[in-house]
Amino acid sequence: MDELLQTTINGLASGSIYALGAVGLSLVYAILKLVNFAHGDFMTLGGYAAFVVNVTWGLPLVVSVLGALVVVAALGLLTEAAIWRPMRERGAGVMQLLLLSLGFSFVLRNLILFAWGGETRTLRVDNTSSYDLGIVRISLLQVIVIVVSAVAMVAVALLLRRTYVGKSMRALSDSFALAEVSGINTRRVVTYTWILGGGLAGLAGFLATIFTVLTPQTGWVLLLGIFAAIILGGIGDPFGALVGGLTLGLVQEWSTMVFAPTYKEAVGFAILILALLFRPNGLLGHATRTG
Amino acid sequence: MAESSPTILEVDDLRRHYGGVRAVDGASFTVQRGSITSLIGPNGAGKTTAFNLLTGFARPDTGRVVFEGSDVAGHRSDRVARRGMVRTFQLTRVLGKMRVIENVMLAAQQQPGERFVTAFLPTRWRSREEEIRHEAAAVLEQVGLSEKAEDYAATLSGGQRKLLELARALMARPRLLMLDEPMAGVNPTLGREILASLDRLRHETGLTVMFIEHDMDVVMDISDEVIVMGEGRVITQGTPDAVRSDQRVIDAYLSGGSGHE
Amino acid sequence: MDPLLAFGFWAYVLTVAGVYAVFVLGLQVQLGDAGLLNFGHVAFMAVGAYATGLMITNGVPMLIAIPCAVALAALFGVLIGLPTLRLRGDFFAIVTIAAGEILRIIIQNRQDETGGTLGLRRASGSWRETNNTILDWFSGRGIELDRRVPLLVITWVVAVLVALLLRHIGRSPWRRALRAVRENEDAAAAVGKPVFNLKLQALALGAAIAGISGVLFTLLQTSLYPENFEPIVTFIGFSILILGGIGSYFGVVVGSIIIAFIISGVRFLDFPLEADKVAALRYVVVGLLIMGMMAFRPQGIFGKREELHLDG
Ligand SMILES: Nc1ncnc2c1ncn2[C@@H]1O[C@H](COP(=O)(O)OP(=O)(O)OP(=O)(O)O)[C@@H](O)[C@H]1O
Ligand SMILES: [Mg+2]
Repeated sequence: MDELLQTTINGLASGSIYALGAVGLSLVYAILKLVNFAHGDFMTLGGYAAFVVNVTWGLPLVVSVLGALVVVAALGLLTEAAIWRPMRERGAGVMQLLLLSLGFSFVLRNLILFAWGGETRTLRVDNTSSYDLGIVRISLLQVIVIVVSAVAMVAVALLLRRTYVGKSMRALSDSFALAEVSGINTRRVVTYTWILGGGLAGLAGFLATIFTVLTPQTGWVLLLGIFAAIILGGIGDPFGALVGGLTLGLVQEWSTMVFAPTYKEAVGFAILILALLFRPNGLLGHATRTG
Repeated sequence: MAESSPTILEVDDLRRHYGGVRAVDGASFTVQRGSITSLIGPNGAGKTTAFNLLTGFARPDTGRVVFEGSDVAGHRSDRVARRGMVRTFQLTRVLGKMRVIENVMLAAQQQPGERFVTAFLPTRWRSREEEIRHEAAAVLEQVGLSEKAEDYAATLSGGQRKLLELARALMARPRLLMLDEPMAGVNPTLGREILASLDRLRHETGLTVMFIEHDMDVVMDISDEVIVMGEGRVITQGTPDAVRSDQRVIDAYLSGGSGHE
Repeated sequence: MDPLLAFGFWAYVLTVAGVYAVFVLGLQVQLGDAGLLNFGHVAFMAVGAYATGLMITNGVPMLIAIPCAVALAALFGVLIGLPTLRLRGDFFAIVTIAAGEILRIIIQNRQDETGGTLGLRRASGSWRETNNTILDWFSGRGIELDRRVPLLVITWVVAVLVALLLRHIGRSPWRRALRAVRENEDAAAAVGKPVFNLKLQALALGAAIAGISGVLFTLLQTSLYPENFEPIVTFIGFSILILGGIGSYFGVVVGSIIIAFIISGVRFLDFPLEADKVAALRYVVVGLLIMGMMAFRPQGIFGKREELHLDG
């Protein structure tokens, strides 16, 4: 029982990071039909931005979160202007954009390696405190990760459901062309999409950094899990991505009660494969119209 | 014994719904061997869906599709095609990255070189390939696309794509050829010529043709039988004259949406 | 650099290029011909490599181990394909990458059998002795060869043979049916082509070819480590494919030489930079190449634009 509770807490924490990454990636996919293989590296960049603010410049941790958000959102906008929009205007297909983003992920990851080297980095954060809640222990970091993600998720949900921008985003994700004729300023919505998707990636990168360690590979290594989360949740559905991320984190941690922890990731991928085979429309499973 | 039966296709209580939409809602009809049978009905009547269900491109919820004496309902589309029921698509599906002649050659049956192992042994398939190439050229001639044989299919116009679909289906030497609005976008004179050639073909080879068409003149002119669908059901089936004067058909067209296009 | 040492070094780079060429020829069959986006291709290479290594270290003669390993890689392809080939293209890509990672994690964890992260030592068995015999035979005839030459030659002979074989079936009706499936499954099925079987055959053929590259890799490296089979290898394969041209077997050969030189060859040049910075820049160049190709010449150097099909 203790073990179950303990692994649940661990799973919620790591699942939150998957979920944040997945929601951002899923938003970008839903609206721009871009399967962004550089999303993991966007997260990594967020980690390094936080590292610069917090360690190099010696500013407080809270400020470094802002640094991560701003830098990655800016990168999103920059790539939109320099790469994705011109490519869309030339009629590039999904696969072409996907492979382009794969190339960009090489570039970004290795520019990070070039700039900061391959050493592992940590932020100035208290990574030893933990609270004993009787039957389980929860570390300060886990609390931060879970609380920050939860707040971010609620904010995103409110934004998507309550604001004009959010509603426009959902319209675009249904049909870009239709949204355009019905008078929605699609350019503006795309801009917000990158700010939101990039910001979430930055935040996820920050949390991954404080929760584990930062190397140029941090985000790339998480990327497959993030894809898994999105597919588990049902592609193109930000709320599903959240559920998928948490599910993945929980299943991985729970599996350590049965298998060696070194199989954790493999279990996550196995769940992904099983889910795809038996619930190809995601765990929440609304069938999409085909044909 | 199935071969000799005058009925090539017998459809019984076919149903398929999409969410709340009953696209095909208990359709039953028969197609006579060697006939030209047209399937008509207002937009959204379920004609294309019926084709999808017959040819394995969609799975029926219930119902039987007896083709040449055996039930093929729910069978895989490629199997149904190999049995001799070959369809074209309303929204054409030409292979744009392949040449026009390759599109047609693809459809040939009995090419051993399509099997993985035999593919390595050209001696086993080369002579058949030459036959196929000649045959494909002839079929292209028949639909008036000879000029385009070596072009990539992506360069074809909408009407030409329809013709290529038809050529591809013919090349497969079907027993039952199912055409979904084959004349849409095709120059009417050419369209009539092609229909006339299909008419000849069925006398020569015993081909059966079923086609969906909105142009009533064409339908009444060429069909032996007409099946009328409305809202997923078969309203009536009969000779062009009988159908023309059927009040239910007139009602269906008046109430059932935009009708012709 | 000492010229003799330099020769050995270039021979090594070219051998790596050859291993990649074989690996990517497998990808070419899957993506170029069948339109299958296989992001877990490296798993088939891993099966080929570890099957060879495990059989050899357990005393199976090399000439039996190698064909068995290739067959196992093909079998693994069938095993992965059976449940997943009906999935959408992008889902298939993710599933294959996941399957590859599962395999790698298992190899990493089964330390008793595979050596885990410590590596599977002497996986190439008596290859070194065989190599020496070959070298002695030549030096007996007055020809002094670098010790890397025999494998270099073998690798490229295999690569060229595989490419020729693929070109041979490239003109067959089988490949025509496969290309039709790649472009539009419905169109192919409507004229009776067995869509699923064709895809499965292409996947298994590509897997077998990747298995061969795994065998060559084993001979080249002598020890196998799980990190040799990370997803990045597949993606380097994709860079080669994109550069050379999707659909072009010759492009694969040229692409692998270019990419191998960028990744391994640049080491030879002296930059006034630390080693890991140079390493990083090499991959930046690879990334820029992929991006530039996708943006301006998606058919690659040798592909045919009219036949490029990128939206499966
Ligand atoms: N895959 C599908 N998913 C959801 N609804 C579908 C699907 N296929 C068909 N429908 C619905 O079923 C109904 C019948 O459509 P169908 O295409 O069969 O009509 P049709 O008679 O061929 O019309 P038309 O003359 O316009 O081609 C329509 O309401 C259509 O929207
Ligand atoms: Mg229709």
